[in-house]
Amino acid sequence: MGTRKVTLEIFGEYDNVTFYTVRVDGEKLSETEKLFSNHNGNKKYIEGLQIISKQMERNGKTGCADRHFRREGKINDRTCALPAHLYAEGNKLRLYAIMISPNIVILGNGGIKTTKTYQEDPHLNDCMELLINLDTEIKKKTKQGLIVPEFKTLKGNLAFQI
Amino acid sequence: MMHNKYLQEIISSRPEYVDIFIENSDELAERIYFLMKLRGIDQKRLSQLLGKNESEVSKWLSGTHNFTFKTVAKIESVLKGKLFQVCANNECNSDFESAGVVTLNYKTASFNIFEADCFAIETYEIDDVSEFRKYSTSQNVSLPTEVFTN
Repeated sequence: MGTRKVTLEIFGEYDNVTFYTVRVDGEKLSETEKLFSNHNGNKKYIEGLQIISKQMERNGKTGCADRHFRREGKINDRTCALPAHLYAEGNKLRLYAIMISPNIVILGNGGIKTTKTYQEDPHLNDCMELLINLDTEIKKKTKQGLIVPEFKTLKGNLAFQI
Repeated sequence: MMHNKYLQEIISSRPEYVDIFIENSDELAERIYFLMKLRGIDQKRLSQLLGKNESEVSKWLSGTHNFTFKTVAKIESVLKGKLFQVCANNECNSDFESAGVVTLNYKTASFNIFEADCFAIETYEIDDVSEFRKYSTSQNVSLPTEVFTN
């Protein structure tokens, strides 16, 4: 797969946290919108989305902590799943994310995890690969001073080639 | 606050029990975390003391774990502190807090059954003693004996 242009946009903003999402250039829906629109009509998983939305509100009020997430990616990246575990009946819904700071979280896509690891599921693997590559680019740009996290906002050009 | 329309749709359809579930779970996780700090016990040590995997303890602290009473009891035992308390029948209900007293009227007599600040102001008109007894039984409260002799 060649490089893609992606842009960050706000998905949900609260007193202490901004949840960004990722839009791949030319696509109608952002990554998190894809997850929400795919599962909103499904009775089995709607509870999972409702739990995610409540969790976002709770974390949004107080700021996020490491313990609210489950580490998912590689050792050196900041990818994780929000929330870590959904205990809705038989719910295996996962929403992948990058926790930049307690006040800035980037949400990606996700889905139903039926395999032991996300790598075994091509769709979930794609979701995670996108976030891992994005995290690498964000780190680079931050180091170069092109992106500056200020409280709950990422300042700078939020378009990336990944 | 700003929400994406897809997020807003989910929030609008969210039933109250989900809010209660997440709030309770998160507060329980906060309480465990607090007691761990107080006792100087980290995640690894707590998992050892309970004979669990560290990943399991990590789930608990995420704030979305559906605890069993047995697990709560084991955690309380190891951390030497209460995680939650079940309300007694005459204890405050947050929805009714600071509302006043319950008054039961039996004919001309009125009796304050609960302390102030513990229940809604409600007046019950009950015609005979048997109804009064039935009410007190259903509410699991002890009425003053003079109610029945008035």
